Amino acid sequence: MKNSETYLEVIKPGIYSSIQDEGRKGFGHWGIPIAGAMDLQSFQLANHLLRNDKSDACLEMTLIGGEFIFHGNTEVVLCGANASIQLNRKKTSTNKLLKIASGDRLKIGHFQNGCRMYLGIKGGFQTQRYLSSRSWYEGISDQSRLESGDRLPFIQQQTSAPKPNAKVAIDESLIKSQFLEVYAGPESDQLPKELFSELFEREYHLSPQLNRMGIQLEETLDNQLEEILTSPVYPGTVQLTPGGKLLILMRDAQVTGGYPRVLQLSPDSINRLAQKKQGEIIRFKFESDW
Amino acid sequence: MNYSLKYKYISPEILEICWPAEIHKNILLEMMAMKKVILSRWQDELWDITIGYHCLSLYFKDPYSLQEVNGELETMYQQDQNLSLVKRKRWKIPVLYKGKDLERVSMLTGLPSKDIIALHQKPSYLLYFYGFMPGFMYLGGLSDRLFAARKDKPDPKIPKGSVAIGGKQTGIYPMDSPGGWNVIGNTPVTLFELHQQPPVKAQPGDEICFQEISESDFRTILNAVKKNSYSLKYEEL
Repeated sequence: MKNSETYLEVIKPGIYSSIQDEGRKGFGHWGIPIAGAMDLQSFQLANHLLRNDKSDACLEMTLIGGEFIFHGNTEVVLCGANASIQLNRKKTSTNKLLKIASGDRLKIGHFQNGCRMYLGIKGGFQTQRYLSSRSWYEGISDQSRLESGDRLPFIQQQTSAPKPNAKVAIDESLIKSQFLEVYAGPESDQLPKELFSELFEREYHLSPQLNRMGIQLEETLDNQLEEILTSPVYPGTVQLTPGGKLLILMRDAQVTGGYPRVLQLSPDSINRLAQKKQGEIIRFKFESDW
Repeated sequence: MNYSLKYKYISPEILEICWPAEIHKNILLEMMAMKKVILSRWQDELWDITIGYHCLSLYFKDPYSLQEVNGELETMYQQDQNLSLVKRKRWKIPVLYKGKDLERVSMLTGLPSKDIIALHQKPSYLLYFYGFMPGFMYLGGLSDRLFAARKDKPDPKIPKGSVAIGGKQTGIYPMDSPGGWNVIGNTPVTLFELHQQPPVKAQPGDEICFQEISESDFRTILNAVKKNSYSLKYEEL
């Protein structure tokens, strides 16, 4: 990480935090996953509130926030999951701009609602780019998760009169919905009709096998499909594994796979799913394709 | 060109063009030719074009309309007869055949090590596509006498440069990774170098062949690789 006078010092890194932007698009043909923010909607909201470029890098935190000290003046915002948040021991909240002076300490607890929170900063974090993206991914970036003692560089802002810091109201009904809109996957036509309709009739629980690469669902289906010739896969692809489990690929997914692709999540649904935790319930809702 | 294609809507930004579900050189070469034609027209509209064995995937920057692009793609396909324009290379990968699972492969195939080594070097393997991890080549052409089941319990770390057999496939690990393949050798060359433009040398459609080297060759090449003074050898096809 490059030396900078102006940086965020990591005291406690949380359990899985990483720098993410919109992802590394355009390198899939070399086997490189897109990566990028799991919940792009909350990520983009953070940049929007800061009037940043829409792809400026944020810190993505998972289930637990962390503790940070700012070395430099700036503005930040927290979007996505909810948690108890303290700025210099004073309670504050998500979705509102926070004025930061050098030396300020930010403390974020366990998430109450949602699975991922974004710390956006004015101008974006200035960590190293790899193949045109700052998103951390093991094997591509030198670091794949945040550690205590890390210094995340940002651009010093002029101190100015604080803006009115009204909290933005977010319509959470969509985010909290159990329903994920899906399109038929390329191999869905190989499923027996009853099995295909069954996909939409039942509830599914998120299993503990849940990370940035993918989320396995608890329930088992009666799988009668064989593996396919290795084919492209995407964030949001729902694969039916030989054991009858459904595996939903997420942002760090490999670029190809050999399990039948029975459904594909809509772009919004990927964001919604990114905010769900182990044990939560989802259902699939069929979107007509075009 | 020669097949009947299917156009599949994946999501608002992703479209797949599918050839018949077979592993075949002609399908690969058609996909590479088609990719070139599409990029010459739509480079600015697309983030990426990726492939599997028989599907070409277009990742649009903005939502597309299936009705609109279908017709145009079919026209491009029908008009393009220039398969021979895809320039191909054959790359030579030096391998020290002293992998830790050579004995296991010997047991599974019933062949002595020297036959495994000879059979592995015999073909020119066709590079179909990159997948599984950055810089990992899907290679076609492994002799069926070398098919060797993957391990039930994957190794926690297969080192970068390992040349291995997994079921009906052979491949090279471009970086350290857990994996269940049987390691038969190691190459001192780097197959994925993030800071090089491009990070990989071989392109889908190219051929890969393996050449046995001695331990002293291995050390010499490894030193040259570290000093950035080694370039992978190839011939034009």
